[in-house]
Amino acid sequence: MPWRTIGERFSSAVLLMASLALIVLGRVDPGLVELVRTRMVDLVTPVLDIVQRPISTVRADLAVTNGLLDLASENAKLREENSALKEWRTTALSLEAQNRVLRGIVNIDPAAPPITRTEPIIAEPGGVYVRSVMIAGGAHDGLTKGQAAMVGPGLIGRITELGQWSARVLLITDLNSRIPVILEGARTHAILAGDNSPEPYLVYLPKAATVNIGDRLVTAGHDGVFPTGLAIGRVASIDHGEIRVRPIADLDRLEYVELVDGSAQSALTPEAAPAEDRNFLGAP
Amino acid sequence: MAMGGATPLSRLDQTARGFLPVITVILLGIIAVLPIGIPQWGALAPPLMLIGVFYWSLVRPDLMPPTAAFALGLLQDFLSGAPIGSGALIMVVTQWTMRGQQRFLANRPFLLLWGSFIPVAFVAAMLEWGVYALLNLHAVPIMGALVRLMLGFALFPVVAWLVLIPTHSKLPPE
Repeated sequence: MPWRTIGERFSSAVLLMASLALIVLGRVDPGLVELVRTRMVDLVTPVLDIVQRPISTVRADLAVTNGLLDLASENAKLREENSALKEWRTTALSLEAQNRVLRGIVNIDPAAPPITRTEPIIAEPGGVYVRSVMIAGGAHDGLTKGQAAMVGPGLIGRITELGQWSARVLLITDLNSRIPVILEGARTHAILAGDNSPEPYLVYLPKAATVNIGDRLVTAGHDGVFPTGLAIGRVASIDHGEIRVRPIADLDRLEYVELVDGSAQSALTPEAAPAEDRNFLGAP
Repeated sequence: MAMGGATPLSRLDQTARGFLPVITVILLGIIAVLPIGIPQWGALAPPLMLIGVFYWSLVRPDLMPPTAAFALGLLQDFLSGAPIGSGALIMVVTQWTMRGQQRFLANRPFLLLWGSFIPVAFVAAMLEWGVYALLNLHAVPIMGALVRLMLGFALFPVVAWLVLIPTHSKLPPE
């Protein structure tokens, strides 16, 4: 048998110890383990990329079929939405005009988040305790570690592991995800923390802050990696001081991600008063 | 089926077939991470590789030695983003537990095999949860691990009938 020569030289006990040693090593030297992991994932990427293609085709076809089935109700809904949007359009146009004038006065360059690349998702591994997706693009495609990943209008996470041909995007719902945010409206700063549930929550919020359900959250850009002002989500619930945020992007149905160029920082400067920052960031 | 050692070609064929169990588990690992569009699929993470390692360690421990279980566990860690070594630990423990059970469980009704997957998957879920909680110093909800356990239990016959049992008949004689 082929394995008799290759395997069974090491007993289970030795391999058990090796596993434990690897777990500890990953804790002691995360950089080394990450390097090995990204190299390994690079090797598997072509396989995953090829296998997911027919699947995305089937998914697209299914979406078309589903769309045909409820065409009538969809139409009614869209007509309703359209009339509402027309009203909003008028509002938006006047606000845009006003905005342009104001930007002209304070002399800032209106910069939309520059999307550098769009990459397909090749794997949605996660596991019970990790919320992440793998994309078929890496350092070779000009991606960098820490880059913000969006789907449509909403932030979904950032690149945490970068290989040559692949990268892992840690989603904002992951237990280890912490993102500095600003609550629009009140301009309050906070940190958006994931806990593996579908709705991340806010921490380090100033005590005096007033938060309302429906408040929009954008990135604060404090980490120096994210551009300022990328939309993330809205406050969904406030329960005994626990503020949950519903992401704008549908994290359940991800097919591709857009990577935002972090080096070209948005010209919009964070409005934070530095003293206030230290206060709430330092607090436990 | 040609017996081993007849001609170089048939020997090569036998050798290649000997790797089939490991190959099926690799395939299961790839299936488990594919973005198939089921909401929360990634978060549920059905333990497909565990089912494979469990099955082969029981019915053909000679083709699923500790080294192979260790390597497959590492592959799972690389793909899933879990702490490196945690999957390897689970697979080695599973292989170790199951390889001695052949005389109790082999050639018994499928239901018995299916039922015996529960304690194994339970230990795996607890190990995974324990390692993660210890590394993050954060008692993460155990619910995720239990949901995963149930999903693994539910998918066990599907994986067995679609992938594992058909492969079984293609294996070289013990």
